[in-house]
Amino acid sequence: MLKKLMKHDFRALSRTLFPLQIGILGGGLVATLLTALTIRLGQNTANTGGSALLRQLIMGVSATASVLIGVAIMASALVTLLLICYHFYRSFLANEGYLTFTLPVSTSKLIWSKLLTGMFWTLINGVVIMVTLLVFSVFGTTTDSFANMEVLHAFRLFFTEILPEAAQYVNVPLMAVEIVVISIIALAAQMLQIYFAIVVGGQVAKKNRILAAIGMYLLINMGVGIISTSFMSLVAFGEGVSSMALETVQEVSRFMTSVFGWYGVLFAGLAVLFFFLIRSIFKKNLNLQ
Amino acid sequence: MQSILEVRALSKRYSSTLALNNVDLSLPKGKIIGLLGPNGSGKTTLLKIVAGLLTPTSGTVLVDNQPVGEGTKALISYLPECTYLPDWMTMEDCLDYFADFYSDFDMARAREMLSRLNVPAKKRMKQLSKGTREKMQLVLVMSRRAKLYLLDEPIGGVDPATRDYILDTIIGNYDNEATILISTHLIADVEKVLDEFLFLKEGVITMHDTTDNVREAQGKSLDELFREVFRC
Amino acid sequence: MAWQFTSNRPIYVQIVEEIELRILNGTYEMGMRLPSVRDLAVLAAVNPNTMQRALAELEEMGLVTTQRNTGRTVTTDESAVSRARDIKADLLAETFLMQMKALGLSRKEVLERLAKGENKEGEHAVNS
Repeated sequence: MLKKLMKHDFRALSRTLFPLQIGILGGGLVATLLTALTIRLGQNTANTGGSALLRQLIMGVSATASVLIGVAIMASALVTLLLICYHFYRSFLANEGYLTFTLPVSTSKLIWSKLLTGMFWTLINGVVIMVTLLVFSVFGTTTDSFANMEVLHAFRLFFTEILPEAAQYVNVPLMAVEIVVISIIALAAQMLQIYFAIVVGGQVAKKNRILAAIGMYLLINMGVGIISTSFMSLVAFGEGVSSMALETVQEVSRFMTSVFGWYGVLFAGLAVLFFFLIRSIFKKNLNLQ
Repeated sequence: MQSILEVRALSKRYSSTLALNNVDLSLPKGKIIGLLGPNGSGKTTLLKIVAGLLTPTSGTVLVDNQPVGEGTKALISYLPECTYLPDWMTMEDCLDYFADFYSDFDMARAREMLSRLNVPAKKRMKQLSKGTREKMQLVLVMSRRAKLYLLDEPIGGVDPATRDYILDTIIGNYDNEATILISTHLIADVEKVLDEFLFLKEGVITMHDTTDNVREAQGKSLDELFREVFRC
Repeated sequence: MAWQFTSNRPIYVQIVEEIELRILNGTYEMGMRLPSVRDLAVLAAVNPNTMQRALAELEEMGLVTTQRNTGRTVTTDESAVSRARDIKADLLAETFLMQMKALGLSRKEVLERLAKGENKEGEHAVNS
């Protein structure tokens, strides 16, 4: 049944999110071309002794385009998140809830489906943004050649020198896996925190439920902040005591790995907490419009 | 007698009001039963609890001898009062949705009824009129071969032609193993299709009998009896 | 068109009377196959269980028979139909006479009225 739930959640989300991601890629590409063109024009004008004013104007356009693309990408990330939240809200708290909650499916599966499909699209959005920024930085920022060799060089440097260097002190693959796993757990925790805020917002308010959800999110965020700070202080204290002197690079890296691990534990704990809070509200205190 | 629904000492309190007050109820299999009462008498609350949308304050509910949950939701086909199909779905999306989640969904029957309704297959729900959406919901709900149908005010606020369509659809899809519980305050319109009825007054079941009994013993229609019992 | 029912008597009784009438006046011919319970219920806009009950009653009266393969048919037994017609006619005549008597009409006056009523009906038939 989880598969079927995910199929339908995915269908509902893709309807708006797929075109949006295509739009980001397309928009990024257009902005890249535009910027590449304008800075080349600016260069030519400078070389042939054109007016300084024109050059400044063209550079201004290029800069504005860069800023706009940045803003648009930030906005797209927000819009993606909002669409995911809106889908959650509609499925559970609006009229559609009559359909959702009478399905012969467990409450946990309902939440899992929303969590996994939401995370999937957030990740896709992240990838789309990174690709767009990469394309922009490689092709939209240089007049010397077709692609910006410095950016490419920096990438090469990272893989040929920085990583091997780091490998002398830390287990790079392990670290990479750790970072990926913790990021995914953190994403899940964040997603569930937002979902929880929406659910509680729906509980406390009859009208303006979205506003209530935002208020709740901020409130919950404060709580999470307090929990995180105290938890990590305890961890740092414990770790610091056990390895008093962090003198060698190995010791520092071991400390970092351990701290990362504890962050993973913290996020996992928060995710589980929010999951069960949502589930218990759905089970005991459903409150459809 | 085997019963499809057993309700024992069921109460539901919303902050200050008692919507259901110690309701006891046993519904047999294979009957069409009217849940009758004025607005605000607790009809919707009772149906929502049986459908699993509300948790009772106290009491027990058994559907086919199971407590309300995943299992009973598979047996119940519930029609709420509101339009609940997602705005962006087309008719095909809706059919796919029901077929995916309900193993008792009869696709051929649903398609047949929808073709008679002339629902445009490509249009999204938000492009359809409220009336068409409501008829579609009824068709989807009645296309399931459920054991218990809960229909909340299916004929509230519709014109006479639509009312006839709705009642025809209910009768035409009814198989005599199933039980249909219809809530309404429009007694005259549904009386002919009811085997039994429940009067619900301020959260209390005040009468549970067969329609034939009322006519035979009291020589009056259910509508007349209702007007007497619920006189303001 | 849904059938009309009065509000003070059980619906199944009224369905029995309606179908009986249709059989006696030949609307439902002898040996004719009846629609299914569900279709009849939709036609009459009543509960299928009620229709079922009415048909069971008609079977008991011998006006309707159930065959394993073909469903329900109107009986082919003429004596059953004429017997039912007799019962019905007798009942109507009895009721009529009782009501006339209650009005204080003599036997002669009643017969005169009946003849007059017959003529009127004949006129209606010519006119229409």
